[in-house]
Amino acid sequence: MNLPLNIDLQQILLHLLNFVILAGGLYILLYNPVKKFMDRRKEYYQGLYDEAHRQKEEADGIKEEYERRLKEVDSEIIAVKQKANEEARTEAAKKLDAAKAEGDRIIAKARKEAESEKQRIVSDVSDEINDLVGEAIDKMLKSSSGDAIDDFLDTVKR
Amino acid sequence: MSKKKRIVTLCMLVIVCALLVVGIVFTNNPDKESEPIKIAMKDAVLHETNRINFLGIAEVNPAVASAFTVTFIILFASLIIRIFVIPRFRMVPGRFQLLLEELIGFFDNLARTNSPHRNKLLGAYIFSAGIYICFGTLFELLGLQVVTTENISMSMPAPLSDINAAICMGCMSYLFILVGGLTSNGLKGVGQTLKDFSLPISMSFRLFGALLSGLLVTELVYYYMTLSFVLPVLVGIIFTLLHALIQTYVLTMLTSLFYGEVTEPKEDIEPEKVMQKAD
Repeated sequence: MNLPLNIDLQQILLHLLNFVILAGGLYILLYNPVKKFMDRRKEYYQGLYDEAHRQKEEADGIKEEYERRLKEVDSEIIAVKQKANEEARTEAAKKLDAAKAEGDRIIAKARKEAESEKQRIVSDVSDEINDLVGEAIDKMLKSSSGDAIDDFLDTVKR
Repeated sequence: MSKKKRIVTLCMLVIVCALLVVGIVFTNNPDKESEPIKIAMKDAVLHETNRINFLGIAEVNPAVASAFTVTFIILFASLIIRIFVIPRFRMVPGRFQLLLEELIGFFDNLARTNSPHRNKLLGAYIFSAGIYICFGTLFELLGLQVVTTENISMSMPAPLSDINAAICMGCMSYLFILVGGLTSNGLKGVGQTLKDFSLPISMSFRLFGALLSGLLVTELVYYYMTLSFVLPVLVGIIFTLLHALIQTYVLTMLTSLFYGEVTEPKEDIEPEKVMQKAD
């Protein structure tokens, strides 16, 4: 069959055969091995990326956990501080009370001592007065003068 | 420019001029009978006169021999690469590995972007077609000689400058799209492919016309002695390089586009939903 433009079915089939051989050969020798290698490398890097992503998420989780715990610790510290302050205040109040009681006791004791000292001094003074009075009476009696009573009174006044 | 460089450039210029003069003197033989331009051009298009004996089977156009030679060269190179290069591939690629990966990645990416639903075989097909068109077109630059049945020595043309090769590529691509449509969408896919019945013709003749135009211009330029200096470097090589790249891109792009269109899954709208919408 003579087709225009020198179109020849046999030659078309020859070209077809040639192309099929070329396509098959290229697929087996070049396309498939290189594609497989590229896919394998893509998977490898994808794996690395996924691992890095997973680790990053893990690290973020740990960071959040630490931040949460840090906040908890802060609040715990505040609570402990408050408790310590409260205890210190209570202790201080107790000590203050004790000191006050001690002070009162000391004051009472001092008052008591002062009172007894006063009593002792008064009694000493009374004794002295009595001695003086006795001396004065003795003197008066010795002198037996009229003015003796006045002198005695003046002495007592002094 | 240093003195040494200037001297080298001058020497090169002198040598080129001397060679050109020698070429002009020894090749300009007006007594020699040459093929008339009309016949040369017609033969470049139709390959009616200069035919070659293909393995004793039949007399064929020289492009058939070119096609098989190109296939042999490509497959031989692929075999060498498969044996010596691919087993030494590394995770961080070297220059040649990068070139190979870029080449395959380009066609694979073209298949993925244009046909997102079904692209495994498409990638391999357009890779093969692209390599064939590109290297087949560049093959004519080698100027390998072949002896015709009339004992005339001629340089082997690009395989796709033969209309039979172009028809083969066009029809093969169309058949590939048709099979893709059939396997993806059944008869609907076939119908959609058959709707573009002009596709194999347009693909074939686009390829043939584009490559032939370059061939004819080059043939014309080479035919006249006065045009055969310097100009062929610009016309022949640049035309060939551009055709190789452009036609590779055009055919692979069109094939993947049409393939993607016919393999796109068609969702059947259920009658109940249609009724609900109507309500």
